[in-house]
Amino acid sequence: MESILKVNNLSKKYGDFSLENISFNLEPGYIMGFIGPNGAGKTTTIKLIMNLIQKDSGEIRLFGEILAGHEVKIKDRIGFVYDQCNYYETFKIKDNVKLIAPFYTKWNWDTFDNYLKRFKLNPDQKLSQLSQGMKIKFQLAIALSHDADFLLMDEPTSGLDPVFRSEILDILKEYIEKGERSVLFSTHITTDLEKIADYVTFINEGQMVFSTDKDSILEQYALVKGGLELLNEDFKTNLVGLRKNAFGFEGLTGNRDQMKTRYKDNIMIEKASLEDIMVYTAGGIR
Amino acid sequence: MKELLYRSFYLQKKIIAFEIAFMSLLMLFGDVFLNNNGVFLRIIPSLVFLSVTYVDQLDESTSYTRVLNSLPTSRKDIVNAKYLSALILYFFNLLIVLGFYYGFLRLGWISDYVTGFWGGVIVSFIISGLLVAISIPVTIIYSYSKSKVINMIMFIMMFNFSNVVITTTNSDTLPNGVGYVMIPTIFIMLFFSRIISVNAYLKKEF
Repeated sequence: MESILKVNNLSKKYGDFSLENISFNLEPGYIMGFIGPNGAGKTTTIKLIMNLIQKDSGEIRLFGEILAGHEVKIKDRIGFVYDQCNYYETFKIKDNVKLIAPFYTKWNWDTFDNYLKRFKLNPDQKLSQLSQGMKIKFQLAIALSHDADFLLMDEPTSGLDPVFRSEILDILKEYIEKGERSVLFSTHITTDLEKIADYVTFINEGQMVFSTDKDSILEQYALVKGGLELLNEDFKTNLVGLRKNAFGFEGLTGNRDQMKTRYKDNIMIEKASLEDIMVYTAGGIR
Repeated sequence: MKELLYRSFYLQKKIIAFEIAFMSLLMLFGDVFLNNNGVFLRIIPSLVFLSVTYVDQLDESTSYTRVLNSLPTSRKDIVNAKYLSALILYFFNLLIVLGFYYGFLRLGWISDYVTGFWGGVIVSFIISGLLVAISIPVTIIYSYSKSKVINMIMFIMMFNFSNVVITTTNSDTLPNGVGYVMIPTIFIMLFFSRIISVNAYLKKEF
């Protein structure tokens, strides 16, 4: 089966910021989390995928095809949820949707009405009256109502309460159930990804850190704690990030097994979360 | 394309309703409205300009352009729809005027020949075409705040310029073909304006 999304050596210079050689691949039936600190280039990458900005180099293939010449056909198969709700705020939900629905060949009003009921959204409400969380629900209802094969979401869970975040995760699981659809979503809330992501792509300062399956990452990385006397140059080469305090150090290693073998008696190794990996990698060695 | 036109007219529905009501009201003044210095030839371009810029400014101010460009449509079609909806609106307004014109003629409320009526039709087309040919690329190329100011200045200038056009295309000069020559010129301007707009829109980042 063809890849849903294939990004190859994608680069884009954007003022002072540059995104360099980003590559990852998303197969049907999987959820990929897209993580990185603020300003890492997540939104830029998503905009490049949607052709909202022009790439400098590299290639993006959606459903096996490049966007140029196939944009209408490809975008018909994509559901999108952006961090900002860019729909008409002064319009009612139903009026906004009336403008969107005719663009999609597989738009289903029944599905949309069901999602409105499920999300407790009133079609006669104006968008300006909705909370941030409700606006995300509104965007999600649109994204899920035209039988899209690929759901692309930029920070969909930020600003949402834990109950609805959990509901979204359930919806995403349902969405990919048949094994033909995929989800890419960027987020700061890495605990959400730990619950549902199959793959994680991590970028930092426009550079690719990794893109691999979540379980391998969590096996490969570990938190290391020990005394300051251990911190020689040789030791530091095994660390991705490091914090020192009065009692010793705490760092992140990407060579869990190697560290375990070499420094078994002198260090404490703990399981690293995705948040630890993101925080330590972004912070570097201090 | 039809989705884009539907969107455009749906957004303008209140303006269009206002246009019908306003034009109908003005028509009660009969030949004052229809003669060579008639109001309609200034009103039509104003309404076309108002409608076209309303949609663009609404999209830019809300960043709706990000949504629009994520939908299954091409950038080229988005630009084409802007020009097409402007032309449709022009002819829609003209249709209202013509409806009243022939209606009044039939009822005998106005004389058979309203001085300079067809000259006025040409002038309204020239001014509408000029406004559209300039305002669409301006809105695409410049930022929302800049384009708003440029369009405003241009609109005021065009309103004054209409006096010049009215003078040169009134019933005395029309037989010389001044007005008729300007019609293809406006179509050529619209054609080049569309090329500039499409090229700028293809490079635009949202």
